[in-house]
This record gives sequence, structure tokens and C-alpha cells, in this order.
Amino acid sequence: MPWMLALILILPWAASLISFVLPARLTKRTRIAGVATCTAVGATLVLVIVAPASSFSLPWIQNGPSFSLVLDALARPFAITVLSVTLLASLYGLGYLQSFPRGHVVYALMAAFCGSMVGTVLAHDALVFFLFWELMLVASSLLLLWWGSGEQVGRITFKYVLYTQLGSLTVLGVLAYMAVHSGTTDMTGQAMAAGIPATTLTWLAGLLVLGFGVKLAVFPLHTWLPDAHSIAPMPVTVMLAGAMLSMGAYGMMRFAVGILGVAALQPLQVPLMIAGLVSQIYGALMAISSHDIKRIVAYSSVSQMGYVLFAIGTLSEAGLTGAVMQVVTHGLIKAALFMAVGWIMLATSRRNIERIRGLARVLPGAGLWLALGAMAIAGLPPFAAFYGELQIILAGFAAPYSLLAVLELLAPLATTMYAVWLVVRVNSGQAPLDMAVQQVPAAMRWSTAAAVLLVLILGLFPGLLYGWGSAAAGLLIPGGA
Amino acid sequence: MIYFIMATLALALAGGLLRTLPAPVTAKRARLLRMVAVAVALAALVALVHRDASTINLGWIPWIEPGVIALDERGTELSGLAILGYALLLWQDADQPASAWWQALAAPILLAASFAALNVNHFLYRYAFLEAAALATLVMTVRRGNWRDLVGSFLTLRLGDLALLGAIIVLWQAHDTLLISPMLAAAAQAADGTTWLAVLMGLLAVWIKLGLYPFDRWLAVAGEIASPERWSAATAGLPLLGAYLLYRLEGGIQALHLTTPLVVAGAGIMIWALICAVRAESRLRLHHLEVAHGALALVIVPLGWPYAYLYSFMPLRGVLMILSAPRVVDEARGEYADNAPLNTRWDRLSIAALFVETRLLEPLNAWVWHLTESASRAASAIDEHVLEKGFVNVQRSALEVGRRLRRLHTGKLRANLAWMAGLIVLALAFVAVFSLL
Repeated sequence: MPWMLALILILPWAASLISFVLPARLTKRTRIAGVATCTAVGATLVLVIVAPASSFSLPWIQNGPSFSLVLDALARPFAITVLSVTLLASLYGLGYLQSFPRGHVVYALMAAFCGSMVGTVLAHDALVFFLFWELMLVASSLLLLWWGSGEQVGRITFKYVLYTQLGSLTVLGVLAYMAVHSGTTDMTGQAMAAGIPATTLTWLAGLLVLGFGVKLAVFPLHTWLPDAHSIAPMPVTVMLAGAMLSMGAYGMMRFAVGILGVAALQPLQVPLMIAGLVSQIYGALMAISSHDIKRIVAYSSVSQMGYVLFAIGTLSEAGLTGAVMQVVTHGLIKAALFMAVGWIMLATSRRNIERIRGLARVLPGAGLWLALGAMAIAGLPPFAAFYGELQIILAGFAAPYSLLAVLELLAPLATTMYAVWLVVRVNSGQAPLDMAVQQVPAAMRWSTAAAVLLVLILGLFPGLLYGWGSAAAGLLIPGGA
Repeated sequence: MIYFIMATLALALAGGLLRTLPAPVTAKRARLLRMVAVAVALAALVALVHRDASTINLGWIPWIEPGVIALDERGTELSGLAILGYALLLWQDADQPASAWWQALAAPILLAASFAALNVNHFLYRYAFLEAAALATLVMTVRRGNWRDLVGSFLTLRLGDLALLGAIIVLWQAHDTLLISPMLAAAAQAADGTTWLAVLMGLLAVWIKLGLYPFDRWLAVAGEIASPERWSAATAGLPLLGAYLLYRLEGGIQALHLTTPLVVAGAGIMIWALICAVRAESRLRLHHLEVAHGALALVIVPLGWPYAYLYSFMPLRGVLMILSAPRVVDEARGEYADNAPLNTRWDRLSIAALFVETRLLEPLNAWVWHLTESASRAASAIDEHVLEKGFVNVQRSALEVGRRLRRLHTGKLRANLAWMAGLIVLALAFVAVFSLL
């Protein structure tokens, strides 16, 4: 149903436009923009879930690529992740952004950010893909530059743009090379890789991993992440961590695995798995040694994306299934954790973990949701992350490198360490006498609870999650590997 | 029948929650509810005795083979012990101050998770239930100001669970089934490298769940912080599951000829633990005695007498608790005589037991004291190093490595770029070297 696909692309952008042009005489512009964004994103989410696999194409450039979109088994779980996280962030923003200057423009850019990510995963032409890929950067960097907090906003935004542009240029170079050699930008099957020698394909795959690795924020390409995450307003941080990082995984899976093929990545298998492991441990160590509560959660993304990289590195159907499951659950869990952290920061006006204590008594709601989010990220059953991690460990043992599989088995211990440590540090002891706790808006509290409960529900009914993952993996590796 | 049991467990859970009602306001009602909860738990016990062939099908992970909770003979009997322990806990809790609601909830969750773990025929579902049991145990033992210990305990228990998960995955891939009996039978028959890996990982899980050295810290923490009743439930729950896991691994252990090493290790740990118990101050004595009792499993179960151990587990732990509960010891010595009048039946029973213990064990203690003074000193030193400093050092090392890594990338753009470029070059060099090799 092409109209559904068109609607899926258009709705977030329509919400962006409406939010942007709201007249100044409206006293509740931010709230109206928020409601419009929530409605549009929610409707798009429903469409993505119910729409059948379909494609849509419009003539675009004369004698050149057409504006092609496809909703297939790989695009669907990523679109669901982006839209769910954006919906949660927008709901949270109804409370968090109410006092922000020009809050309606924040919503307009958030909707545009979401629209560009949805466009990225739906694109079925390399040029269309890159167009939306770059729009994603524009929307997110404007959000950081205009609404970021702290003294170094300009420098950090510049760093973010520079890093992600370096990654984008690497991707662009590879796509251009493939388009020139194959004579097409159509992303169907492996058409773009036609006629390229096997050795070159491996090099191209390596470069794509590097390029998309910046967005995935795996070690050592991650250094933009903690800075950007810590200055952004919380709903934007939620989107950066929960949705945007998944775009790196999507790019790797769509191009490096799907188009270049598993054979091209075969020589890189061990380095990918090792890089994934290193990222898991490194992120965990950095999280446990940080003092800024927001940075702790930010660094956990580096660790979690390490799981995804390891899973992709297994080059197996089970691994790719696990990678997709991990991306979806990570998005929701990270949203829940950042929302709980935002609640704590707003209620206590503090972000240094050394100065936050005793939340179990003075702010039990935030402490509880943070604890449940931490349990979820540690991969405890029945939270949804357990199943993704199980698939990834399974894939590791199925790969011919037992030592790496055993190390991967121990990685959740590192995750547990920082997750429990975070919860313990903020909840334990007596609250400092000078720590005043104020009430936060209900929208923030309810959306945080919704995020955690969503992770729990997905964990209690994991068939849906597995269905998305296995369908995506089946698309990338027909017949299994 | 099994649904009835699950319903009674759910009611017991509700009863557990209702225990948190503020006593001064609704003392009578709370007492009545507690009685109802005890009655319900006992009804579950009666139902277990008259078990039938009814089952609960588990299929919430649809892409793996389904599992079943059935009233298996062994599992049922052990569940009965756990339910009895819970009923005692509810009864005794009358003397304790009201718990936080989440702590009150944890005991019945531990009970339900133990019941499911003991009766399920599927290894992955059992893993999930064991995780729930571990978490409930920790929640039960939380007390103000002990969060650092809680982190350490949780990490230790998680290590055991992950080892078990590794064993499950290895066996699953080798034998293509997750049903416990066929999987373990196939592993015992194969007795190959996979079986070795799986059994070793399984034994690590057993070691941790039984709280044997050097993984006994969680047991010590539980002992130091919780009331005797909760302590009893918490320490008996997971170790019982650990002993049961050891019993299930028996085939693999025999096939790999690990019986003798395990018996020797068990005996060694027992002797060590008894030495430590004799030398320890009263509040820690029970902890070492429990370690010794746990180590006894390594001696008895592989030798083929598992039932004697499993069925005596809860009663023996109960006796150990009575003999060594620190509150009782202190009261007996009159240290708190003015502040804590001995006005309950439980206390009087404990005092009687303590009297017997002191009369019987004191001469033995003195004798062992002289014989093992130097060995004991060495044991304490090693114990301290391995158990406490070792763990603290792991945490400190992680912290220090993290700090150093953070110093390396300072947040400054130029430094970060150099840092990233250097690491990419290193990665590329690694790939090049790997490709050449």
C-alpha cells in the first residue's frame, strides 16, 4: 500500500511544519506543538506496525535515481524504534519543555529529526538514503546548538558535526564508488555491488563499518557521544541515544551485510567481534568512573552498541537477529534511563552523582524506575534485553571463536556492574540536607513509567521482538548462515 | 492440582504483602492475615503431597522448544521444604518490625521462583526462575547502609547465573534440546570437550549458589544484615537450588571422573570453614558453618547420596541458625538482657539450644583452638585477601582503569581526534597483521 508508506514519511514532517509555524499569539504554543508531534508520531508508529511490506517510487532526477521508499523486514523494526523513542521523548517533553524558550521550535526540530530518521530507514535509493542521513545531522545539530546547556555548547556541537561528517563522508565515498562501478544507486538486492572485485568489497565493507561506526558510537569512534548527550535537552538526548545510534547499526546491516554481502565481511569477522567486546568493556569502565549522572548513562550506550557490533560481527542469522532485538530494546531502555535521569536532575537540580543520595526515600518514583531500567539494561529476565543478549551470546558460541564467545558471556557482568552501581549510588544513604527536592510535571513521570513498562511488556511477550529480528536477518542472509 | 498450588502461592504472595500493614493501627487484622497466609502456604504443602499429573505449559519464548512445570517427585518434595520454610518465616515475622513492602514481597517471590525452578523441565526457563530467586534473595537482605555489599553480592550471584547460562548454551548447541533430563543425559554420554566446559561452568554456578569460598561474600552479607528469619529463608533458598543443580549435574560429573576432586575439594572447604567457624566471633560463626554445610554437598552428592543431603537441607540450616544466631548468643551472655527481654517462645527455645551447644562444643572448640591456631591465622589472612580485598581490588581496578581512560581522552577536540586516529591506525594494523597471519 504505497499511500501508507507515503503517509509514514509525511506525517512527522507535517508535524514539524505545523509546530514551526504556530503563531506567536498562541499562549500555549509549546504544548500545542507537543500534542501535534505526539499525535503525528503515534499515528505513524501505528501505520508502521500495521502496514504490509510495500514500496513507493516517484521520478526524481531526470535520467537519474528515483525517490524510492520501501518498508521491508529490516526497515520496520528500525522505524518502530525511532518512532517509539520519539513518541516517548515527545510525551516527556510535554512536561520537560514547557518552560523552554521557543519550545515549539524544539518540537518542530524533533519531528524533523524523527522524519529524517524514518526517511533514512525507508529509503531504497542510495542518494535518497544519504539525503535523509544528512538531514538527520542538520536537525540534531541545530537542537544541540540552540538549546544545549553549558558553556561549551558551540565547541561540542562543532565536534559532533565534525565527527559525524567524517563518518558521513566516508559513507558517501563508498556509496559513490559503488554507484560509479555498478552504474546504479538502487538498493535492491546486491545490485550496487555488481562488478566489484571481492578484495575491494572487503575494503569497502571495512570503510562502511568505520563510517557507520561513528554514528553507532562504538569505541574508538564514540568520543562525540558523551559530550553531545550531556549538553542536549533531555528529550533530545533520549532521541540521540535511543533512536539515532540505531541508524549506525541500520547502515551497517543494510549496506555492509545486505548489499556487499557476508562474504565481503568475512575477513573482518574477528576484528569486528573484538571491537564489539572492547566497546562493551570500555563503555562499562567509563560509565562506572564518571561522575555526571547523564554521562554515566551516555557511556552505557557505547557499551550497549558494542553488543550490536559483536552480533553483526558473528555474520550469522542468529547474530543479526540478536542485533536487531538489541537495537529495539536498547532504544526503549535508554529512553527509560535518560527519562529517569532527567526527572532526577530536574527534581534535585543536580547532576553530579557524588551530590545525589537517598533518592529511595526522597524521590522513590524516580529511584524505582531508574532501578527497573538498570535491571533491564543488565539483561535480567523477563526484561526485553535478555532475549537480544541471549541471541547474541548464542551466535557467539555458534561462531568458530569460542574464546570470544566466553568473553561475550562475561560482558553482561560489566553491564551489571555499572547499572547496579548507578542505582546504588543515587538511591543509597541519607539525602544531603541541602538537597531540595521539587515535584516534576506529571507528563515526565508517566512517560518514564511507560518506557519501563514497555520494556517489561516486550520482555513478557518476546515473540514480537524475535519476529522482527528474525525477519530482518532472513532478509539479509536468505537461507541462513 | 498444579494450578491450585500456584494459586496458593499467589495468595501467600498477597499475604506477604499484607504483612506490611502498620502494626499499631491494624495489629489484629495483620495477625489474622498472617495466619491466613500461613494456612494458605500449608494448604499448598498438603496439595504437594497429593500431587497429580497436571502441568503448566511454558511457551513465552516462542522460538525455543516449550517447557513444562510438572509436579516432579524430587522437585515437589524440595518445594515442600521451601514452602514449610516460608510458613515458618511468616509465623516468626510477628516478632519483627514491619518490613518495607518490597522486602515483604520478595520472600514469596523467592518461594514461587524456587518452586518453579525446582519443577520445570526446561533449562532456559529454569535459568530465568533462578535469576528471579537471586534477585528476590538480595532484595530480602537489603538494609540501610549496606548498598556496597549489595552490589558485590549481586555481581557474585550474576557471575554464577552467567556461568549457568553459558553451560546451558553450550549444551543446547551440542545436543539441540533445552529439556534438562535429555540434555544432561546426552552430555554425560558424550563426555567430550563440550561436556567439560558445560560441567565446569555448571560447577561454578553451584559453587556460587552454595556460597562456597571464595564466593561466600553474598552469604556473609545476608547473614550480617538481615533478621534471623529472613536470613534463614534467603540463605536456604539459593543454596538449596545450588545443591539441586549439583544433583542434576551428577551424570556429567561421574562421566568426567570429577567425583574424587569434588569430594576432596568439599572436604577441604569443610575443614577450612570449621576452622574459621571456631575462630570467628559469634556473629560470623553461622556464616562459616553454612559454608561448611554447603561444602558437605560436594562430598555427599557426587558420592551418590543426594537425597539425604537435599532433604536434610532446610532442617539442618534451621538448626544451625538456632545454634548460632547472633542475637541469641548475645542475649544468652546477658549483654542485652535489660534491653531485650526474652519473652517469646522462639527466644526460650534458642536459649535452650545455645545452652546445649555451649556445653557440647566448648571443649571441642578449645581443643581445635590449640591445634589449629596457626592454620586458622593463615586461613583468616587468605580468606581476607581472597574474599574481601580481592573483590574490592577488582572494583578499584575497574574504577582506576576507567579514570585513566578518561584522562586519555580529555574532551578536547584535538586530543580526541589524535586519540581516535591513533586507535584507528592500531585497529587497521591489527587487521593487516591478522590478514597476513
